[in-house]
Amino acid sequence: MKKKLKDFSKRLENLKNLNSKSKNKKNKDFKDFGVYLKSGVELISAIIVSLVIGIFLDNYFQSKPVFLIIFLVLGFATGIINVYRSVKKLGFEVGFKKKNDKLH
Amino acid sequence: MADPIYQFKIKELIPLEIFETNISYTNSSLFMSLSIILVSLLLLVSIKKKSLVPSRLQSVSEIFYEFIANMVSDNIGDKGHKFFPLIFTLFTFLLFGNMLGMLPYSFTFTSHIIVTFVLAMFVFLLVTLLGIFIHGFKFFGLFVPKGVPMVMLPLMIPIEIISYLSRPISLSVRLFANMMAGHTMLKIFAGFIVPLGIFGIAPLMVDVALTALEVLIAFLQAYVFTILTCLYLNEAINLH
Repeated sequence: MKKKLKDFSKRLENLKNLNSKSKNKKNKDFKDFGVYLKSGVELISAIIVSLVIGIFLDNYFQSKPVFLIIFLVLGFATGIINVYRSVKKLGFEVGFKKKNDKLH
Repeated sequence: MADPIYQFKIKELIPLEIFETNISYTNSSLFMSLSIILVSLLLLVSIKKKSLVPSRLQSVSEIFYEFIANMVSDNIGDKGHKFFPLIFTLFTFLLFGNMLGMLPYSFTFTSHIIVTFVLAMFVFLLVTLLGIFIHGFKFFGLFVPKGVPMVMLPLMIPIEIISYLSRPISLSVRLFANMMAGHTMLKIFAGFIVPLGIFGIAPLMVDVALTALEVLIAFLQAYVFTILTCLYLNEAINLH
């Protein structure tokens, strides 16, 4: 009886390990898919926001098209940085790698 | 051919006007209510008979619960449990909205940008106010990136601010664009089936494949919306 029980607990342990392994892998693939889906919109939304800010500031200071040009350039840079971050999975931290960072 | 955009038309079911503002009960509102009612029904019915070995319905709601609970604890940590109801509601509301939209003759309320934008704006305002409330002035340290040379700061701070402000836009546009584009594409291919006669089998096959893809997208977009909400909340609460 004891032997049987031991055997059973061993089998249970094995199954548990197997399950958690396959689950982890699946989860990771799934998350990757989400990252790539969101990168396209990231670029556009930054440009839209900077466009709105630029037009608003130009209207406020009566300085057409100075702020619009400045903010469009900034917006484009932001979009590129955002895409870079999301693809490299740096989250929302700055897009500079730390020295001992494993992501590359 | 049927108009592929017609499916997104808002129809007033119960016209209502208060102070010259149109607040009619539309087909969009109908499906929002339907989504909420279905989620509530599912949860209420499934936990009525609590058993150790769950029935099918009970395991569905348990899966929902565990999925969101894991998401919250993985992304926010212990402090995030207060926000579990919010995140759970957001996810189930969007998921049921997207999935209801996959049924024939139904309406997808997430395919209107104003709906998704209001949801995203709510998340954005919540996160900003929460961050300021918890961390005070320190919260604006978010805009000063770590490890950047001083010379670059005048350039990096505006970039960080634009990046922060672009969140509600990217959050809402992603969901709206995916849902609208998918449904339009389905309709366009469906419009080719009958006019092509025997060759209509080709667009029919495409439509079958697209339907499967759309179900995946419907789930994935609800998931992405909620996981990004989690990440934003994490940033506001824990402030790296």
